[in-house]
Amino acid sequence: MLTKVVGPIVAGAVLAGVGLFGLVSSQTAPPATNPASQEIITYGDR
Amino acid sequence: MDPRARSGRFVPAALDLWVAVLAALLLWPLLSSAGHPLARDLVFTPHQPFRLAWLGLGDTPARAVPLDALVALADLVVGGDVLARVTLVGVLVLAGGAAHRLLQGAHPVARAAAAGFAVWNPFVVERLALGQWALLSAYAACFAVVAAAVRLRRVSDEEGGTRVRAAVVLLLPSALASVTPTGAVVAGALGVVVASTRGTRRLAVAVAAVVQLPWLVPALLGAAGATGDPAAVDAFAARAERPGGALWSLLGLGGVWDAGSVPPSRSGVLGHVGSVLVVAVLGFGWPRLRRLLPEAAPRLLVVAGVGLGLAVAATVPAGADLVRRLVEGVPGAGLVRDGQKWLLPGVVLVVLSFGAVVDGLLRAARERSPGLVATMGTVAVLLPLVVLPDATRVVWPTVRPVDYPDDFARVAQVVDGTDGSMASLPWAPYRVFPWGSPLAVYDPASRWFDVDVVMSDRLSVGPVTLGGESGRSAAVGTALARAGRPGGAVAAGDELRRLGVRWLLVQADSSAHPALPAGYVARLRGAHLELYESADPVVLQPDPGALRVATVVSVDALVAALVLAALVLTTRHRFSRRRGLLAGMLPRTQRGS
Repeated sequence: MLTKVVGPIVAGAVLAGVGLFGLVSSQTAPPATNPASQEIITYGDR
Repeated sequence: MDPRARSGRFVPAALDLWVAVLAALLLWPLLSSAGHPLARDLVFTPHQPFRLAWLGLGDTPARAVPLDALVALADLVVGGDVLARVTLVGVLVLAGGAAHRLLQGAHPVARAAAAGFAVWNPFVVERLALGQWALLSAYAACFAVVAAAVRLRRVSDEEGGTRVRAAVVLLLPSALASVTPTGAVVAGALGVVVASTRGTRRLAVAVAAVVQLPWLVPALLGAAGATGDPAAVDAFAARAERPGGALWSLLGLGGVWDAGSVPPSRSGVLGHVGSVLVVAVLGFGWPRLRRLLPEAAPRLLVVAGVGLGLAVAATVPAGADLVRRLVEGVPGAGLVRDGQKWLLPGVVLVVLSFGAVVDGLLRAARERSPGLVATMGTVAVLLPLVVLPDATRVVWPTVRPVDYPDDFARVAQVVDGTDGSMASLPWAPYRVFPWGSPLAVYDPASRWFDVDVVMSDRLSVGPVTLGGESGRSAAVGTALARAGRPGGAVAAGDELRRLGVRWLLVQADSSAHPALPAGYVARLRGAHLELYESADPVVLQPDPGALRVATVVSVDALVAALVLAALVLTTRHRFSRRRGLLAGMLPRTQRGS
């Protein structure tokens, strides 16, 4: 019961949930600023 | 056909397919759109011209030697757009493919898990987001270096010819890793440490030495020996992505210096989960890994430990002081300033350990609870994606290709093949193009135009602007700054002509239009680029020197000849055995099991 039903259900739910979170969050977040308006172009930021 | 032989071919092909799927997902914008990738350090142009500077004969340290020379040569055959796709996909496929081939004794699902993790892990994702594909090329090649070094070690008691052949095989992945100095150092260390026995030490050292030559010789002969700004050590030190310090982030295979290259999930619970998993994988996977790779595992652990030490060094006060003194006082020591990249051999170790853990778990489950095997296998294979679900959020903006405006081709028509130098303005090494990616990108001028291009080499990291390493670039920058002061335009123009600056390239769509020196007339005014030429002759700069050029070119030609000879010998060996290249590198005991 544990290995044939509960395990796959839990694993599937975790995989689907995190996968959807990643997919949605990667597509919906806007940039915090518009870098094209910056006067100083930085290589990166810590 | 023998079912075992069929299975022996099917499994690697299926694993390669899984790796290719992950690589395609990570690089999807690049594969689904036309154009050239142009963001962060990822700069491809239609045809990169060949210049002696690409061999380390310029006035800046040899950080991208011989990478740019190889790209320029490859551009003779294919355009930059094709090259970008082939190299980026190829690097990721090589990493995953070489990883699962190293674990041939493991369960196929464990190999799939390791192969996927080799492609989809924080180190690869963060460096890809920075556009540093050359470092990833070194990372991918290091899996093959380990395999080839094991093979060399195993023939240490055999006759000289056999050992030399094994050393030749080791030269190939070592050379691939050596497209940048960092890769050469890591691959050389891995090869020597893993392969060395009494009978093979000299051969392993010789291979390691050969692959250092393309960057070491110009560094010893020229400006590449310049010292760096010690402030760069703090700017490029490994960074804590979440509470727990930099070491905790490094243990999670992240910790790159740039916050913008880090997926948001790394700052939260999943980041901690990742670090815990890596520590657990190293601990629980060690016994199984020692059985799968008895010669390589302990030696890889040593190199990985040294790498982790280097990565951590700049994050602790005493270590940071030492690295600052090195960068300030030792020519060429700027190579060590980016701390997190030294995690590279550690990532190789963790990937292999992950495969070993999964292999051990699956074997245990098969004996005690067969029903759990499929679930465990699925979870293991998908775990890298689950722990890092937003990898594409930082990678896709970097690899999304753009179309260069026609202005670039028009400028090229004017300046290509001319003498004198071109200064690229605004005077900063990075740009944001309104027609391109919203991310800052390294100025593509030097890779577009067949003329000597002088650029600023003063990097801005957050509010800190670091000192440059090129004396000529500093002099040109000082003259350009003078042009902006009242009454300074004439003196600036004279000074630039004395420094050999014939052309001024101005990004016209930049938010800040720089003040121009006197005596330069417009040759082209486009919506995106403007080109000015000195009205008077300029003082041409001296060549690097015939002896210096001859020495560097001869050494590079010798290394290229050795690598090509190794390629021919290995390919012939491969066909004669009807085995794959990587399978040929593996010890016989690990093949087809």
